[in-house]
Amino acid sequence: MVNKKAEMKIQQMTFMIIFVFIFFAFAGLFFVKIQTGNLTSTHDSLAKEATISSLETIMNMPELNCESGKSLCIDEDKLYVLASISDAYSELWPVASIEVRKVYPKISQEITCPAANCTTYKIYRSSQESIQVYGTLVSLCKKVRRDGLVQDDCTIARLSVGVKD
Amino acid sequence: MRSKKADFNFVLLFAIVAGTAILVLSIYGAVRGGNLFRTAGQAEISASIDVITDPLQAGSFAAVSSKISFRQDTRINNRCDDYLGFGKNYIAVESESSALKDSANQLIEIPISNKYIFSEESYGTDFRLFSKPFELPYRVSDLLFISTLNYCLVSPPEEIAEEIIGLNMPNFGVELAGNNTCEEDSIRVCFGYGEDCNMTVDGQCNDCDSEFEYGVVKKDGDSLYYAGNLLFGAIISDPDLYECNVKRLLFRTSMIANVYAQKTDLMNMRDCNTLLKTDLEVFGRMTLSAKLENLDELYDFAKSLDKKENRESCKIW
Repeated sequence: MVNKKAEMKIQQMTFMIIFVFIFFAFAGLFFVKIQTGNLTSTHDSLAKEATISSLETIMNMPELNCESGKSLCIDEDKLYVLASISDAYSELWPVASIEVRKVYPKISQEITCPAANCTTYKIYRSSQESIQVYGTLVSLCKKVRRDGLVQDDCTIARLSVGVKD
Repeated sequence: MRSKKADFNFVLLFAIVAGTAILVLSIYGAVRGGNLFRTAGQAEISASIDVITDPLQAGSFAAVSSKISFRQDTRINNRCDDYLGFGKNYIAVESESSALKDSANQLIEIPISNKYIFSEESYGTDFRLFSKPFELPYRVSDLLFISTLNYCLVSPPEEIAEEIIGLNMPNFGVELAGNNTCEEDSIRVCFGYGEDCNMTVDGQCNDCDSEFEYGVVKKDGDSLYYAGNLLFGAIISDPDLYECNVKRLLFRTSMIANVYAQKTDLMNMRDCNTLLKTDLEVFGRMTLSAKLENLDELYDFAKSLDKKENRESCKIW
């Protein structure tokens, strides 16, 4: 009888300890889940912020921007060159993708550069599978000589950059 | 009766052993979890530095300044790697308390490929940032300087003194005849000759507006050659970091020279003729193989290239 009572006590104690252990383990897991959730959302928002601020950074990069550092202006000649040597620059870009697409005057047929009368410059695309893209409108200019005068020949284009994972 | 006592002791013993195990596991978990979240927090700050320094890219401005404040003494670890040419700066933030607690503290480094960050390895709560463009002769990138120590520029040339005063950088003072804005504990940087100098700047440009347009910074037995705005990088950074960032910059200068050389072909097709292609190709090769000691030659070549470009009707940069 005494032995049985002692056994019961041990069982009670064991169950209690196991229950307390499981309770704290779940509480800990719940806490870790919330914290990692916060961490993931912080990572995502930082990556998004970085990409949006990269739009300006990329426009101001000497490899792309118009001469004399004009704002919101991309040099079409530089784009043409970069489209053909984009692999050499893959280590430099702070984003997952860069694309410049002419939007005005209206484009009837999309032709990827480098090619004659091309409309879309695919400068870079990383091996990342899914890419969230942000964009802005820019002037796409090149120097031409008309009637002996040097002028800027500009169109409107959309610069799109992708968020890096 | 004897059996009951033995049972009671066993229950007590079991409770003590199991209780201790739970307590030890909980404390271990809490410590590990704390370390993990602290490391995550530090990584988050490191990543934020990349984002918050984006607006500091001077762009078309001459210079831009800002400030980062931490609640406790913190160090911004800055490792540089010039592998694959463009290279990277790896930024990791480490608080002094975590470094003291755990010397083998695992830091999470954030790689930054499109910035050139010059900084010193010291703890502080307030970090001053400023950026200046690197032009050779076209704009290559912006140089980003991060420092927490105080510097005193002794007898700097007029344009540097005016710029430092204009930037309103509290950790950079200027000592000129009849004007001293330096803090007492500052690192003294003497231009030419001066008293109690921690480092000296030896200007070597003879055909320039100021002899300090290029030269050498001598500190702790090292000679760091500089040209243009690299001067501040040579003052702030340790020699390895400085040399690595300069190599990265020269590689990028060479790549941009290549882009400009190919751009001239496209311009020529539209009657926008230029004679700079050969010069750009030569300059591209020079920068690719240049060493720190060759910065003065590159600077002189870049100046002559700029003069030629200014005479062109179709501008290249």
